[in-house]
Amino acid sequence: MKDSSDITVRRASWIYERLLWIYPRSHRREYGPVMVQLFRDQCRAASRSGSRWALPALMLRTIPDLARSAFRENLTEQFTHMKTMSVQKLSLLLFVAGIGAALWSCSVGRSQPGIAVGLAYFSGLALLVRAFAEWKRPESELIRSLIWGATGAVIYAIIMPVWAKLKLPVIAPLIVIPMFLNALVPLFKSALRLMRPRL
Amino acid sequence: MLKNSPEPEDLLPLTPAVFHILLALAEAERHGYAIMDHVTQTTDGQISMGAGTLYGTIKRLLHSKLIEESDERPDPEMDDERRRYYRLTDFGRRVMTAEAQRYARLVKMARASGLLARLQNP
Repeated sequence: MKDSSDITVRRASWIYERLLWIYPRSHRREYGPVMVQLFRDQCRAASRSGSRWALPALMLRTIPDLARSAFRENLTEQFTHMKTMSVQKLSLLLFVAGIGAALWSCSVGRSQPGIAVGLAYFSGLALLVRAFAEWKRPESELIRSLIWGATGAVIYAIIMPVWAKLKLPVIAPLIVIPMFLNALVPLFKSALRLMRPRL
Repeated sequence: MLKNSPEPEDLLPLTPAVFHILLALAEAERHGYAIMDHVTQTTDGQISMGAGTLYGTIKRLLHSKLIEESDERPDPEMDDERRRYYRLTDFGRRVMTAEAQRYARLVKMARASGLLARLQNP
C-alpha cells in the first residue's frame, strides 16, 4: 500500500509539472525534468520533516519563485529573439505597431479618450525606436527605407487631423518628431553616402 | 564594453544567488538539490531559492562558462542517473576568487571605518 505522504508528493509534483508550461518551450525542454525532480526532492524532505505545514509552506514559496523566474526566462527569450531578428523585420514590426496603435486610437478616441492618448504616445514611441532600427538598415536598402518613411508621414498626415477633431490632448511634437526622424534617418544616410569620397 | 573573452572583473559584482551557487560548487561537484541544500544551510535559511531561480541561474552560468556539466557521478550505484551534476570551470574559479577578494576589501574598509567593530560589539 502506498503511503499517503507519497501520494501527496506525487500529486504536488504533478501540479508543479503542469505549471511549468508558463516557461518558454526551450527552457522547459532543457530544464523541465530536473526542475520537477528537484521539486519532488523538496516535497519528500518536507513530508519527512513531520510538520503538517511543511508541504503547504513549500508550495507557497514555490509559486512566487515559479512566477518570477518564468517571467525572467520569457523576457530573456524575447530579448534573444529580438537580437537575432533582422533589422528589416524589426523595422516592419515597429512600423505596423506604430501605425496600428495610431489607427486604433482614432477608433476609440470618442469612447475612451484616455486609452486613445496612450495609444497615440505608444505609436510615437514605436516610431522613435524604428528610427534607430532604420539607422542600422543596410545602405543597399536606402530607397526602400525612404519609401517606408514617406508612407508613414502620409498616414500620420491623415491621422493627426482626426486626433485634433476628436479633441484628444495629444502633445503633437512627441508624435511629429519621431515621425520626421523616420523619414530623416534614410535621408541623412543618403546624404552621407553622397558626401563620401569615391575611390 | 565587454570583450569576447571577458576578464573575471567584468562579471563583478555577482548577485547573491550566483555567488552562493558558485560557492557551493567551489567545494565539490553537486546536483541541483545538493546546491540548493548547501545554500540554505550555509546562509542559515536567509537565502532559499526555488527550482525556477536555481535552474535559471544555472542556465546563465553555463552560458557564461562559469560552470559546466559533469559526466562523473560521485557514487553511481547510489545516485539517480537523471541527476545532472555541475562543477566550477577554471574561469568560474577565477571569478569567485576575484569576488572573494572584492568582499575582503569591503570588509577591510568597513573595519577601518569602525563599522564592523560596532556591529560585532553592539
